[in-house]
Amino acid sequence: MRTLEDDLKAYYRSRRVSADPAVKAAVADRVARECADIRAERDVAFDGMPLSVAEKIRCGQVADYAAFVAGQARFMGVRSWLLQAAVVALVVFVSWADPSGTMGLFACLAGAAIAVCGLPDIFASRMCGLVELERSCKFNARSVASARMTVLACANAVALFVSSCLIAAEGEVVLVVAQVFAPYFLTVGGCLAAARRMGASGALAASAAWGSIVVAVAYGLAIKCSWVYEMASWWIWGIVVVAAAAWMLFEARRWLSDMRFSPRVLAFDSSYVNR
Amino acid sequence: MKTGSTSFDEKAMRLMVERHYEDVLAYCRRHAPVSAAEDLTQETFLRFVRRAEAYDERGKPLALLLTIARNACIDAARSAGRAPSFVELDKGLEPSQSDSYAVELESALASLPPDEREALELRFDQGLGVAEAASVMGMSRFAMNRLLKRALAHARSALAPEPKGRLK
Repeated sequence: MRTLEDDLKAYYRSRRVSADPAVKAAVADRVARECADIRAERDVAFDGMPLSVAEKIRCGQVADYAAFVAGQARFMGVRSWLLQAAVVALVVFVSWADPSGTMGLFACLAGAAIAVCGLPDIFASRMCGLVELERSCKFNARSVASARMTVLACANAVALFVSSCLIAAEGEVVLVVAQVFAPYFLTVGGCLAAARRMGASGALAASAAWGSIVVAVAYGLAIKCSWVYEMASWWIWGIVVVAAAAWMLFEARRWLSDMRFSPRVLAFDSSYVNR
Repeated sequence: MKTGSTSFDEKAMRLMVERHYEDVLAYCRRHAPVSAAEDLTQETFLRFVRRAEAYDERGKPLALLLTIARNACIDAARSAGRAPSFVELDKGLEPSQSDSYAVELESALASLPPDEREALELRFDQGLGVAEAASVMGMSRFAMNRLLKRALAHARSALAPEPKGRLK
């Protein structure tokens, strides 16, 4: 028995008017031309000579962005600041309580911990699915993420440097700085790589897991290969910190360039990823 | 269709026109004067190209095209100084009197409020899912579900007394 729904479909099908092929072809041509024009405009906008820093300052772009970054620092909440302060205090306390301990290990723990405790604030906007909404704003999801990264990176750098200075023995400051920044860069790079492809809970769990792995490796090295933390191994830390920084910058760039897509678009089963 | 810069791929856009021109044209013919329908259809595709970056692989592209077409029809109606509404089909498109059931259905649909007619059209003419039809009309999925049920109930009662064995 036919239903009303079937009848409606048949009715609408019978009402369809076939389009004039010439008009349709003309629309297709017009649309293709519009595509070409838009692409040409984009190419000019993005591949043309970029604005110099002086021009950006004159246009007020730098001041705008600086105000935006400062605003994001306010919106980030106190959680990440408290966690960072707690990590610094803990590391300083442990190094003070156990002056014979491996300072390099403490530095590694501080680097990994500080990296993990700031990431939820960076992921928040995208993971809450606000990317589509923010796309229409002057400062979109990518701006928010880059501003928060800037704020957090500056704060982390200060915290890590202060920690290094406080726990380092005389003449070992540079080595401890490398030992604190290498796991930090590694942790941030790994977390960003994981977060690009995961949903909210998955990204945070993966970040915590990756941070734990970095800490475990640092601890394992302290037990099995304690010579790694000695002054003579400074060159190893130099190589590690440079490589880790390069990886982190690469992942941060990919993260920011993907910020305009929702996590769903970048999921493993997405046609965008599997194109 | 892919997102980002690939959205400006002429070949993909030609394919989009090829696939959905009739759908958009059918919508515009019902919601704008027939003489303006072809222009509005072209305008819809041009707006789609300009907004291609906003298309995020969510649902069928037809849903976004119809949303744009709906806005284009509303804009056209505003600039013509009248409220947007369903327009009468031109004489050539009217069903023949011999197809009496089609005539009944036509008058039953004509008796429905515009939002109910539009919901039925999006669902049964354009073949959109409930969620996609809801996004075109700017309402929640649940509201669209209720609207569709109400529209079908009204259409059934408008068709009554129904021909024997015709409808369930």
